[in-house]
Amino acid sequence: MRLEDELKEMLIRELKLVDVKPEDIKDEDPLFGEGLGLDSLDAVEVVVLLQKNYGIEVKGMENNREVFSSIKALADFVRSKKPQA
Amino acid sequence: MRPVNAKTGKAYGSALGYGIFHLAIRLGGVRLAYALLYLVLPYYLLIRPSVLRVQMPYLRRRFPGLGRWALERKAARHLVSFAKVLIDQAAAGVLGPESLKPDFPGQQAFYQLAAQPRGLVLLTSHVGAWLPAMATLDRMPKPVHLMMDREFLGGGHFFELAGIADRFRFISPRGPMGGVVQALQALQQGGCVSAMGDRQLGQGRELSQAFLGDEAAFPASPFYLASAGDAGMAMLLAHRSGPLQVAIEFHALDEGLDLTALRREEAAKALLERYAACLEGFTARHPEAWYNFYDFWGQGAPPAD
Repeated sequence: MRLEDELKEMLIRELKLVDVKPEDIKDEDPLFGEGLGLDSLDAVEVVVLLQKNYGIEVKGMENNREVFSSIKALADFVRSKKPQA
Repeated sequence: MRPVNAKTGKAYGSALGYGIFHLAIRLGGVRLAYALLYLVLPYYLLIRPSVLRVQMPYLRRRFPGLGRWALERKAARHLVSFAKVLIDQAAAGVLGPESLKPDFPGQQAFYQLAAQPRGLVLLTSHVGAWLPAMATLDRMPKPVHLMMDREFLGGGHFFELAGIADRFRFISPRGPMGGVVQALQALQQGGCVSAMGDRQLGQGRELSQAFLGDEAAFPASPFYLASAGDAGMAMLLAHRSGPLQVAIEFHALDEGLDLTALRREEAAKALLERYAACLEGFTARHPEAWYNFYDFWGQGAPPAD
């Protein structure tokens, strides 16, 4: 499975997004605000999920505005930290 | 910090007024400034009654049996109490933070709690003398990150004047993701993150909680952060007990709670319930020390500070 799809499923499942399917989320869609509608507390959950599922340290997310901008950006960030992902 | 009109967003008092109080403190200490306060007070009571009205949503709930005139007398006392805290803060800037006399019986236990390896969310509130109390915490064993814009302090704030601001690291609530990812990082590195538990800074999710008999909205992020960051949570409360005197207490809000056994929302709600109960208890003991000058329960948007 593509990492992008894996992340979409993870967000829908863990953030309990109702009436959203992985195919509804485009890789470049904004995750926050006008896009998927996530908020800052969802960002906290995403950080915790990345730590739990991919072993990524939060201190690597200083530029978090870019990291959280889309599924593609999130996947690129995971790959940059975990090339095998 | 100056009291702010919730509708206009404008601070009560002028820069000139504050300059006069600073001069009074230099010339005659805080007692001269207190005397000056009683000269200024009639202006606010007679010409600017709105300063009394903004306190009524709180005072009606704190003193449900009182009539209008009794409440207005309470409001006047309330205003004097707040002004004296501001004068003490100004004095700490002019005379140095060592001019504040803290009375903190639990200080050792508090520093021991803060010294634990895990992170700590330290909640403060817009009550009593919370800023002077923070100024007296000069032996914190770990970095303290304030969830606050340093720009909000401004050059004239006593934290800046007294050189206290450099003790803290500032996380802007208006930064990316409301600063919460940065705060989580600080907590996971064992740091202390201090946030206001009673007022949303910037935008963010809120939690509803009964407070003084009615539901009120509290910011969700500090309570979620403690759970997500596997951190402890304590609450610092302080009231002005005399000229330049600050009586400080703290409450370990997560004591006896296994946050890891609770879902995030449940953990946040459990912590908020304890926070609100402590805050309510504090306002019962120090009813004049509530400084949220807007309708905390209703429609009035909180001021930006």
